[in-house]
Amino acid sequence: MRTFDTAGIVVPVPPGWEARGVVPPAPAARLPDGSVAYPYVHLANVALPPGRAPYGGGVVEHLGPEGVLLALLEFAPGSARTALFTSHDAPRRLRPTEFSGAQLQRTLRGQLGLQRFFQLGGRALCCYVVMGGPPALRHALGDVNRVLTGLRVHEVVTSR
Amino acid sequence: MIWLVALEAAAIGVLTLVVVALAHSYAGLAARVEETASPRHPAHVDAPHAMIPPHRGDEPTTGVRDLLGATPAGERVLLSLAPTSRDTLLAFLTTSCASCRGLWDELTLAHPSVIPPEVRLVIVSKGEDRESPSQVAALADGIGDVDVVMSSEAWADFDVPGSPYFVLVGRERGDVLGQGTARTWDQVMGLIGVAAGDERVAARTRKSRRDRRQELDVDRVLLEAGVRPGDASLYPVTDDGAARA
Repeated sequence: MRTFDTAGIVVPVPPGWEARGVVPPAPAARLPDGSVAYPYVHLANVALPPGRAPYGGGVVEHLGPEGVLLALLEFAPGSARTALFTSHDAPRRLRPTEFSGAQLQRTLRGQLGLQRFFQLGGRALCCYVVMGGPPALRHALGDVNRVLTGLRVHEVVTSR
Repeated sequence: MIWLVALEAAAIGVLTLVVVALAHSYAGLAARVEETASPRHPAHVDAPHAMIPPHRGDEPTTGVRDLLGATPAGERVLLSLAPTSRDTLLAFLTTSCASCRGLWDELTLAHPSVIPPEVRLVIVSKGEDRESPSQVAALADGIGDVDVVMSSEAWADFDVPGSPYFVLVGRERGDVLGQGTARTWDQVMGLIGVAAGDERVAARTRKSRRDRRQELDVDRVLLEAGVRPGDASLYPVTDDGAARA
């Protein structure tokens, strides 16, 4: 699997998957490579078009029953001290029973979602997964877990 | 004496005729050169594009199954070439080559009708080490949802000899189904059609690796010498002075 690095959020990308990473031009902090927070990363087993919304708008509408979108979104550094981000590791192994339509940012018929908040490397992050339908849950959850197992997040270097 | 003068006059007459004929010939040649050198000459626009035979059948693939780079807006991208649901047409364009400019413009005006929906078009410029993101962004502006990726790595991965250059990548194994140069999107569509046809007759028309390598070498040498697709010197000239399309 090829490794994909966006602003210190490093993930393995399964064969046939795509990845795109956005770093908005509003620096609150600076990373070792000079990029700025707060970034988000999208991975999917379908083509990722340009011009997507952070929670997958522009992609989820076209997922199909076997499609899956995994979004990793960073929040303001101060968020890591809040109760929402108390988990000190990423979700590494998701189970089918954890997904439901109620967790979708945008409810689309047949789709299932999951959202988890955590901190890693001192950075506040959200893992948001959309399954296009039950077939995706059966066939693509393994790839999702491989991505999450390989996820690494580099610490932020605060700019002076 | 009279005879001598008459002979001299006759010689002058013959010489005058020779000079006039030479001048006429030179004028014709000059006009022809000017005609064929003009970028507005229609024979250039519609001149056939150079074709390089695709890799086929059990011959080795490039092994390139994804494309890593960045968009002009700074987004990092890793696009999958295989396995995926559609064949991918990689269009290697630059901001500086004259032939590329027409392709950018034509795409702005005619997309998405230019590319069939069963093919995913990805425009690949060189990376930030060789191209200005703002210049690429200016050209990419207005072409809708077509992916524009800046990646010098992709140019190296596909051994791109110059621009414009097109590579059609198969969706299943990442095979190079066809590759070559073209000056218009119509010619690119022809390339795709040839690639599809070649796939069907691959078993009967397999070309040796040596021949393919030789043709690639010729293409590279021509590009290095400044002879680009559509160059007048690539095409024979008919008796009436027009380049054969």
